Amino acid sequence: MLKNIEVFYFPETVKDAVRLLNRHAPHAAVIAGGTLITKSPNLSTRVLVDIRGIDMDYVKVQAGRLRIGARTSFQSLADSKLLQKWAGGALSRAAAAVTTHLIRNAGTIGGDVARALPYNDMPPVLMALDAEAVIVDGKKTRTLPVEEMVRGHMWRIVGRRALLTEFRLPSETRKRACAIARFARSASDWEAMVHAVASMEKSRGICRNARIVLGAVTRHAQRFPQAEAVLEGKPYSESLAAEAAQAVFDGLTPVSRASAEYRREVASVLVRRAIREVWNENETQQ
Amino acid sequence: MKPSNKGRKSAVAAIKVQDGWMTVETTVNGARQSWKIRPDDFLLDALRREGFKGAKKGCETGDCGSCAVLLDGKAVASCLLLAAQSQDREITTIEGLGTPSEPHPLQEAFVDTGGIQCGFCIPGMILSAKALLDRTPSPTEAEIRRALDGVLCRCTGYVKQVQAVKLAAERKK
Ligand SMILES: Cc1cc2nc3c(=O)[nH]c(=O)nc-3n(C[C@H](O)[C@H](O)[C@H](O)COP(=O)(O)OP(=O)(O)OC[C@H]3O[C@@H](n4cnc5c(N)ncnc54)[C@H](O)[C@@H]3O)c2cc1C
Ligand code: FES
Ligand code: FES
Repeated sequence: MLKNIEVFYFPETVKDAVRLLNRHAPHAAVIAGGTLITKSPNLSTRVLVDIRGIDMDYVKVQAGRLRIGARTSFQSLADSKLLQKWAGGALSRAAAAVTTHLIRNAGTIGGDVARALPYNDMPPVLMALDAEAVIVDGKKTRTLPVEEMVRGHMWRIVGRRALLTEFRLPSETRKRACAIARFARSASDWEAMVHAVASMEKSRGICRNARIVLGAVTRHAQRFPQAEAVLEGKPYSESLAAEAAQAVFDGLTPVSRASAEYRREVASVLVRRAIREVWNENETQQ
Repeated sequence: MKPSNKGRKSAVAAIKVQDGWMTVETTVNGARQSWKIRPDDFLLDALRREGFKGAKKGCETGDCGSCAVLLDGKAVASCLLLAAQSQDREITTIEGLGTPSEPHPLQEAFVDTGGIQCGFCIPGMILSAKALLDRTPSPTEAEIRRALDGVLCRCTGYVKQVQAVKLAAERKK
């Protein structure tokens, strides 16, 4: 647990937060909503940097791009009018589907990506919309595709001195159609068995810039270029969706939780459903 | 909040742990509190120790909602948050809503509809309902169900509790 904490800081600027992380590295950690970190034992943490006072709770458009502050709660994402219109509101719907109101009020999108457990709900949708994460680590500000961020706990990817401040979605993703097909044991089970997201531009019946992402089946959420290649530039049809799903079935080696055969089967079914839903908004999932 | 005196540039507010204890300043039901706590104390434990026993300890994993309180007006699971996260914030517990002789309209509505059996989930239910009605005075049934979806009730089957929130909303008009 967090027994060894010696000090809590409440910085109000990114600069101060990053300075504190640097000064106390590797013993400092960020606390955002606290819904994950408070129950995860890390005895080496001595300094907690509570980022609630920093202005990182927003959804806005700037120069055509969508910008989402890392401290934005699931509930604010669900309520954001802007997000409800971006890519058919996929990210906003995913946030609204987070288990319960108590978690939606406290949990943040930054925490969901920084500590990206394989079944966390935000990463697959962010990846399907080509999102980049903005990282500030003292010396510089840089951006990293969310796809790279989620390959492990954030400190493994960018170190313990870094603050994740924002997500950016390219302007062209605004008009993409995006569908989510998620399967869990129950609606309140946040550890999905399989989480499939499909997004693409529907350009006069042709699939363009297709993204197929799977969460919860492998060690981290990942894109499926084989399935994307099947769709790219082709006119949509049921059989094309089935062919893409087959590519997922053939290329997937699921790990842990439920048998691999089962998950591979479910993953390909959900990918097919997500692609169909992109083309036919009425289709119900699950 | 006590400013840190560590380092020249540091005007960042901080709470330090001394001999294993720290002081958190917060507001509960409108009254300023100064708590001496351990750094890893959860908000739920601190509240119960200070006498706010309306917040119940069910699962301690964020799943049951019996520990729900309002933090700056929003319902949160107090078993998941560290007490230090409540520094300089406003907490509302069930003790802050009405008295036995003058119950809050939501408490009255829960009694009138028969929405209370053992009572264990009720503080979380009523506080979650309050957060909803404060923002959305005339909620739809779907909105009510969503606003209560983090609080499990082992007794009632939820129907009467949803009716209670509707009734409280109607009476308020
Ligand atoms: C009962 C329950 C239900 C849940 N349901 C869901 C669900 O349906 N879907 C889902 O995806 N998740 C769910 N979660 C997991 C969790 O709530 C989310 O992952 C949430 O987004 C975590 O965010 P937080 O702000 O609470 O993170 P915190 O606990 O504050 O932090 C988590 C980690 O990220 C780091 N961190 C946070 N923000 C930053 C930042 N800006 N920069 C650098 N590092 C940072 C922290 O240091 C820590 O290591 C659930 C958890 C519980 C307990
Ligand atoms: S005790 Fe906090 S949610 Fe169950
Ligand atoms: S009344 Fe008993 S748990 Fe709800």
